[in-house]
Formats: sequence, C-alpha cells, structure tokens
Amino acid sequence: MRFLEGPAGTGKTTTAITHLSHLLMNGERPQSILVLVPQRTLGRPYQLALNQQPNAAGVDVVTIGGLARRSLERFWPLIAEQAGYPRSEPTFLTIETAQYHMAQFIDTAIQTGRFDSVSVPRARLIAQTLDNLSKAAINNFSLAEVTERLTGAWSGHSSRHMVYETWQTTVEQFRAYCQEHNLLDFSIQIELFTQHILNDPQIAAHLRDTYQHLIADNIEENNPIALDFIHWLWPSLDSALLIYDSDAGYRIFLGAEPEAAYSLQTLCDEHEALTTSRVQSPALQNLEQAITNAFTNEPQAQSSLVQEAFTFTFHSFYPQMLDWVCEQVIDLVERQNVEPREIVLIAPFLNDSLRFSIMNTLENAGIPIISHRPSRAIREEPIARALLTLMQWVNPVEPSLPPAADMANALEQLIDGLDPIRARILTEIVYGSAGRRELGSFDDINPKMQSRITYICGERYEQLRQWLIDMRTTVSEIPPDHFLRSLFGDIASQVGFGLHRQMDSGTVAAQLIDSAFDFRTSLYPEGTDDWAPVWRDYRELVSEGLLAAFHPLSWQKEETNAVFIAPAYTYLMRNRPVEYQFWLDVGSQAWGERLEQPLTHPYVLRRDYPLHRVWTDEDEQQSNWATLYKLMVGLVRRCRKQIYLAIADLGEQGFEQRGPLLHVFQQILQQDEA
Amino acid sequence: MGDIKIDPHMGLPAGFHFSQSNLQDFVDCPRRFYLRHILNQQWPAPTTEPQREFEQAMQNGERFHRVVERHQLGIPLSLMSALSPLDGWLTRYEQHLATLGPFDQVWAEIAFSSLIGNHTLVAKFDLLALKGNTIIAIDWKTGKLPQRPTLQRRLQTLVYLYVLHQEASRYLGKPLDTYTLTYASVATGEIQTFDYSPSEGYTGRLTTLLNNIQHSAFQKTDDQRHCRFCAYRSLCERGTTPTALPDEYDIDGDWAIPRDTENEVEF
Repeated sequence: MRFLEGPAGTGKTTTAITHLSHLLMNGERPQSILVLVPQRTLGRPYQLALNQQPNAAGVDVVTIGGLARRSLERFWPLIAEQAGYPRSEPTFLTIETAQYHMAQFIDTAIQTGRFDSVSVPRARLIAQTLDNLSKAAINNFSLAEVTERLTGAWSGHSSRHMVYETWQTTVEQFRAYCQEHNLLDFSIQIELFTQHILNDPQIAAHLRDTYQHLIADNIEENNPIALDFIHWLWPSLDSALLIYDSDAGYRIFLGAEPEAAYSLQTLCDEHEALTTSRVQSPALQNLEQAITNAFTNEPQAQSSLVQEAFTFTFHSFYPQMLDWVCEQVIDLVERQNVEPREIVLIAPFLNDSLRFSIMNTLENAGIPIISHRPSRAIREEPIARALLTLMQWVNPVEPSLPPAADMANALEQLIDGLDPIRARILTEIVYGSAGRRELGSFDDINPKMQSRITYICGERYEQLRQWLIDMRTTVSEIPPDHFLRSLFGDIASQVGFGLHRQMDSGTVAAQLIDSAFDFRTSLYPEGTDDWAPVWRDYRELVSEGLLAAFHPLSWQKEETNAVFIAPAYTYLMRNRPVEYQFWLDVGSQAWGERLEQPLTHPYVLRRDYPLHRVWTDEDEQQSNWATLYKLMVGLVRRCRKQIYLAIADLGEQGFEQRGPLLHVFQQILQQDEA
Repeated sequence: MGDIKIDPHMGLPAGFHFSQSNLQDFVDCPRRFYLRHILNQQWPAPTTEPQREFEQAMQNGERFHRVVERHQLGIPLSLMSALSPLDGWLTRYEQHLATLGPFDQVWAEIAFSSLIGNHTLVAKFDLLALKGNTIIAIDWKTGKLPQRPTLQRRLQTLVYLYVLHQEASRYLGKPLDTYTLTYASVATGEIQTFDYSPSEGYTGRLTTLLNNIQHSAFQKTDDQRHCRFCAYRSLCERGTTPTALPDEYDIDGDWAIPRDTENEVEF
C-alpha cells in the first residue's frame, strides 16, 4: 500500500504505469485491477499504456461516476425495488436531458416569483439547481442540509433564504418525478450507488472480489464519494497505489477535496515524494519560485533566470494583442520549427470572438489548431442552426415559421455555391420577408433572378425543397433524430450540398443527432404515436441553449499535431506538458474571479465547511487568491520552455484591465529589478 | 468530383487497438477503415432503412446481452423476465446453455488482448466457459446465423480463435487442449462451432492483414454491396438513401461498440 506525492511533471503517473505493467507481467488478472481517475481525460495515459501490452484488456480505467453507472446497469434488478424504483430498465439521464426534465419544475418556481430576487437566466438557474443536487450526492448531504448550509453561509438580503427554500421544494418535486418515471440523473446514480449498491451483500462481495489492485491517480481532484469508495474497498485490496498531485485540486468547483484525499496517506505503509521536475527548464522552476514568493509576500532574491521563463508585450487594444499572439505562434512554427502540438493558448474563458479570431488567423496561415470548450452550446454552430431551421419549417405543429434570416442562413449553409447575398435574394423571393407557409419553387422565379441566383444553385434548391415537402407528411411518424439523420445522409452531405465532404460539419451534425436521440429516448423510451410535438420541444430547447452541449474533440483528435486553444482548467485536466504556453488577456479580472452563482457555492457545499458559518468577502478574496496561485503554478509546471504573456491595456469591452494575474507578474518584475 | 485527401502515412491513432470489428471494416472497405478508425470521422447518415426497425433490433440485442451478463453474475432470470420482451430468446439461451454445458466455470463479457507484432488485438467474448480442458467462447446472435462458410470467413472467427489460443491458458493458469468458438442464435436455435486448428495459419493471416493495413492507400472497395449500409456513402459518392434492410446487418457485431455515455461535468 503506497502513497506517492509530488508536483506535476515529476513522474508520478509514469511510476504508476510502470507499477501497472508489473502487476500484469506478474500474472495478475487485468479484471482485478481498478484504475480510478477523477476525470476521463486523466485516464488517457493508462489507456495508451494498456494498449501497448498483451493481456491487458479488462483493466478498468474509470471515474467514480462511471463505476456507479456501470454497477447500476448490471445490478439494477437487485436494488431497484428496495430503492423505490420500478424494476423495468431505468433511463440514465445525460446532463442535457436532466436539464430538460428539471426545466418544467424551475419554470413553475419562476412563475410563482420565488426566484425573482436572483437575476439569473433560466438556463443557469437550471444548471445551478442540478449542480447543487450533484454536490449533495457527492458529499452525502441531504437536500435539507444543502439548504441549511447555503442559508447559514449567506449574509446578504433575507430574500435569498426563500430562493434556497424554493430550490429544495423544486428538487424534491424533480426527485419524485424521476422516481415515478424511472429516470436517473447523475446525483441519483451516485446516491443509489452509495446507499444500495455498496450495501447489498451480493453486489458488495462481487465488487470486492473483482478488484484486488487499486491505482488511484490525481486523488486530489476526486470528490468525497470517490474517497469514501477507496476507504470502502481498502480492506479487501491486495495492493494500492494512491497518487497525489501537490498544490493541485483544480476541481474544487466540481467537488474535489484535496485535504481529505491527502489524509488517505495514513492508510498506506509506504510514502514516497517525488520532487524533481522532468518538465520545467531551470528558468521555469525559478519562475515557479518567484510566483510562490509573490503569493506569500516573501521578498527573496530571484535568480536572473526568471525573466528567461516568460516574455510579454503590452498592447493598447485587444485586437493588437491577438495579432501579436498569432504572429508569435506563426514565428515559432514556421521559423523556429516548433511542433504545433507543443503550443497551447490559454484563456480564463474562451469566448466565441476570441476563439474565432485566433483560429481563423492561424488556419489562414496554414497552422493546424484545435479548440475545446466543454460548455459550448451546439446552437452556436451555423450548421446546427441550419438543420434546426429546416426542422422547424417542416414540422406542422410549430407555432411559427422560422424567420427569413434563419432560412437564408440555412440555404446558404446547405446549398453548395450559394453565397450569402444570393441566399438572401432567393429567400426573399421564395420565402417572402413576411414568411409564407410554403417554400416557393425556383421554376416560378423570373428568369433574370434565376440567372442571378444561378441555375445550378436553383436546381439544388429545388432538390432540397422537394425533399422537405415530402418529409412533411412523415413528421409525426419518425423521431427528430431520424429526420436529421436522413436530412444529412440523403441531401445535405451529398454532392452539390453544403456538408459534402465537410468533416467538421459532419461532427457537428453527429452531435446534434446524438443529442436529439438522447432527448427522445429519455422522454419516450418505448416510442410514441405522434413525434411532431417532440420535434418542436427538442428544437426549442436547443435554440434556448439548454440542450446539446458540443463536445467536438475525441481524445484521438486532441492528440493530433495542432496548436491547442482552451480554457485554462480544460488544459490543466489534459495533464499534457508543452514547450510553449500563451496566456491570453493577462490583465483580465476573470483570471482570479469566481463566476457568480447565486444558487450554489463550491466552498460552502463541502464536508469540511462548518454549518452556519457565514461566507465573507474576505473568504471570497482568499479563495480566489488561493485558486489563482494553484492555477499559475499548475500551468508553469506544465511548461518546458517559455510562457508568452499577452496583455492588452483595454479589454475586449474597452475597459482598462488590471486583474490579479497581471498584478502578480508586476510584483515578480519589480522584485527582479530590485 | 474529386476524392477526399488521404494521408496514408498518418498512422494509427495513439492508443488504437485492433478488433474483429475494425479488421472486418478494413476487409470490407479500406476507405471505411480509414474514415472510421484513423480519422475517427463522425458521419451520421442512416445505415439502414427503416431506421426505427434497425434501432429496435439494436435495442433488443443490447437488452438481451445485458440480461445474459446479469444472469451470469448470479441474478436469477426470474427477476429479469419482467424487464424484457425477449422471452423466446431467453428460453433458447437456457436451452443452449443446457446443451453446451455444464461448465466448470464461466465468465461473462470478458475481454482478452494479445500482441501481434507491435499491435494489440482485442477480443471481447459474450461468455467464456471452461469444460474440463476445453475453453469455449460463446457468441450470442440475436438474428439468423449466416451460412457456415460465411462465418468461417468472418474476421470474428479468425480473431477470436487466435486471441483465445494465445491468452486463455495464461489467464486460467493451466494448459488447455481445445479452443472452441461457438456461435449460438437465440432467435433460431442454430449453433455453429469452430475449433482452433494450427493448420488454419491464424498468425500468418493476421500478420498479412495488419501489414496490408500499414501499407494501404485506403482505396474505396470495388464491391459496392458494402456501400449499401455504409454511413460514409455520401462521402464516397456512392448513393443516397441506404438500400440495406435491418436484417442484413450484423447487429450483434456492432451493438457493443461503446458510445460515450458518462454524464459527469468535466473541464
């Protein structure tokens, strides 16, 4: 039983993979080995290693959520009735489908005015409501305790108390509805796992007999239930290797408990600390020390190497800063022959304009670049919007037709060769700016306009139009995902149409179709007689941004040789060191600020936070400061050569920027001069 | 129209492993293998029509395999009969077990991997059963079994028998005399059995196949029958609506392909 700790980049995971190989080479059955990770991305090094050796299939590389779900799928008939659920197969809700079911209860609460004192959009109310449920489950809190904790920590206007009480009433209704309809969201899955799966003698014996060797990596990122599970499994284990990343714990917002994870060392016979970085240059090691000094206010002599670790330029305006970033990336790749995958661009949040601007410039320069933003809604993709527009037009139960601008966009996206101007003209003629029930025929347009739009585009338009008209009669008979699938396969991806051989568009369409499938199978697992209202509900929810988060990258694609642009925490959770990091918009306040979340609280909803203790402004400042320190050190430890700081005096919105990250670097530079 | 740009030097993605399913893809159409397994390209066109029938068949196959896994984990079938409309299948499943058994030991849904050259080859068995010194891999089929020569030619037969022979003895920690793959249809009651035989030259055939993949230009297949139920047909300009019927598709070969189903919030 071994506890291994050390900062990122010191070889902990490499040590664990060697340990895993030894277990397999010594003849341990792969099925007896459990590799527990807090997030799937952190399991990749193990999956890659397992694919390189024989007789390794069957090693479980899984998160606690994955283990809970799989156990429920396997053992449902044994626990369903005692848990108060029907014995028929349950429906496992995704984040998106859970949001859909929750929406009806939130809407009721909104209508009563009980959420009026918090000005948060509906979609965020729903997301935060579910977040609280998850926090209750992973901490083993009752719903009442969540309310009590939030109420006790709140020091503002008393109207917030009613908000928390309303939250509790709402989620109780949601839970009752889930139980009646056999729906399992993440929080219910976790509760059933801890309360029933692990307490059923037959299942418990099976799990304990199966797993005899445990490797738990990044335990500092794991939630309390995962740590409880390690305790539960411990007595029956033949071996265990627990790995703790010092100064990490980035997933506090998702329930990570680094302190509780660290206390697991008391269970182990051996304790080993790795301290030598295999990643950082001496200059970056000095920068890490300088950052630590800045945060602890310890004025210490700095090595002259510190400034070799980073480079920066001040720009007056935000676009100038972005231009500078692109120029530097192009220089690194084209003139210094740096592999694109050795470069990451990191921002506190990755908004559309930032992402588009940089990706567009680099792609035009021939530099491959990939992005990942986990929470991006698929409605932001023009192809998805085009498909949804046609879905709305085809469906006779829709209360209104799509706006002409949306129809023009759809035709432009889906008809190859139809530019925005011709698409607008065509729409004005055949659809009418006021909107008509039918899409008119190209054949009825006067020849002059036909010629302007071009006959080839007209022919394609006619083909699409006829197909849509034919589909109108079948709307009530087929689910929305079948319609979208046929629209993609029969028309949109064929020669002459906008998605033909457009690989990225294929990915967007696939994710939209998957989300439509999840939506209707969670609502109507056994089908329905009339799908038309389901089409409408689905389309409305996607348009609202409530359904269909876009997860564009498979992990194989993330491994490709391309520059990676992502939010800072997304990059950290890839645990992939690179030669060059670009920190974008260093002056932004967002680097050191928690998002406003009136319905939930990542610190108050933790086991070690005292009940009834008020959360103060000082607590907020301290936690933000501590989070920024972890973030900076985590990034620096994953950089081999140099960090580029991109700074704009005026931010994207035109305001002067003096955020905490900039302040830290100013301190480091002043210290250096001193 | 031109063709998509193929980079034959792109190589297999990190962490890739071979299986009966992806090898069959290569044999059916090298281009499909390239798109699906090297580019990992999603292309959501229907594979069969009517889609609803195909989907129903997939769901039933998935449910049946889950019930069997649960049964082998010790959950009585009586607890599950209410879960499934597949009573007839379960009756034949029990009959098959009675015919093929009794077994000394069984393992449900177990995967073995084996190295061939520098590549990993994975086989996931529905049920592995030990009977004396014979190891039997049972593959449940929820449709009619193809003709024996067709099954014989399938990559599944080659891969399963190779991996079984390479790994089962080591897994069990004892020498084995016979390695058997049994296809058992719960829809029709048919059974087809294949024994491992050194004269079949499994290693050579697989090595040749992997070598072909490494040196392939990933051309489209000449046999356009494979395009009828291929999702990539619009990419290859080989048709619009699928012309294959659901019962022409090997449901049980595909249903276990995992879709990313975890539902946790991640960074």
